[in-house]
Amino acid sequence: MPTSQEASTFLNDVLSAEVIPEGKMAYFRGRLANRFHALVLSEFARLEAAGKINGAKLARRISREPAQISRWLGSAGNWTFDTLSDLLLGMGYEPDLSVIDLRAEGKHIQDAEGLAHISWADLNAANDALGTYHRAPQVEQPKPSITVQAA
Amino acid sequence: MSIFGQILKWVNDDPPELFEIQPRRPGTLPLRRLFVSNAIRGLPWHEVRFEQFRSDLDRYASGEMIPVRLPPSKNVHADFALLDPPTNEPHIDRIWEIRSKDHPQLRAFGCFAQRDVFVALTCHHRSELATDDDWALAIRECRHEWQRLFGSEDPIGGLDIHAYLSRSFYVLK
Repeated sequence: MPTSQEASTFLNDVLSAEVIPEGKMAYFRGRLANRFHALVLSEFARLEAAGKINGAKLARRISREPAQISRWLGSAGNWTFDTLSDLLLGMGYEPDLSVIDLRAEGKHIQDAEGLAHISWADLNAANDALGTYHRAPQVEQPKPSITVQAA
Repeated sequence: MSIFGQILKWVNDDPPELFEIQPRRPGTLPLRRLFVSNAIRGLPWHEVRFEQFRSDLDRYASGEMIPVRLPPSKNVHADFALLDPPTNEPHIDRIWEIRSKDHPQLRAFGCFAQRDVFVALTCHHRSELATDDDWALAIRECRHEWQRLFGSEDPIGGLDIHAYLSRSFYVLK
């Protein structure tokens, strides 16, 4: 089972393949679904904490049952593009999309090699300093390629 | 020795009993720690279904927002769930389930060794977990594996989500 030390190998295998193996494509499909789900869940959590929405209100806005909203927020398992659009629109958003060049990301890994060995103590210290939301020390995180925009 | 020290001991043992899984996301550091047993490491990760499963594990490890279920909620949809102990064995608690819902559905079972440090110990196809007895067996098996590795050290317990995760979670009702 690959670990992050093999991340650059994994990515290189994808980028250099004449035909990308089905498994690798499956990984990226799953990753995309999870990222969309995390995006929507983050926005929902933020709006709910601000008292601007809840599951019942979102359900009403997009003509669904609250139980369906709960299912969708619980897992990306049955999502379609329609699900993504409806949930975001129900919160007053639509996606703002861009793409990143994975070849450049592969270079980023090589540049950051060694930083992958930052200790857990360092990470904890950074967490303590930063509070709930973590930013990795000394590493510029890749800019998110998917954000949301008010509709 | 701290429980994290014990984890590192198993990682560095010869042969290792635990393996750290770090996210494949380019340029990303693991913001949560994920360790897996030999049994999980031995799954056919090159197969399409397990590559999808790997993306679910990476979501946890990369610190992305995750949906969580805690008792007494009975929500069956959250991808990450603290399980109720078997009815007749309330002491077998503190077992979590990672639900991977692409088909065929998979379930990984494990425990939090400390906040943001999850140890995944066993894995089953969802179809193998048809009855309460099946679930009790799976929970018992996971707890047994924990005890084999960590003896009398208990995993994190209780219903305070902050004891398990420091960031990026949403608790489903």
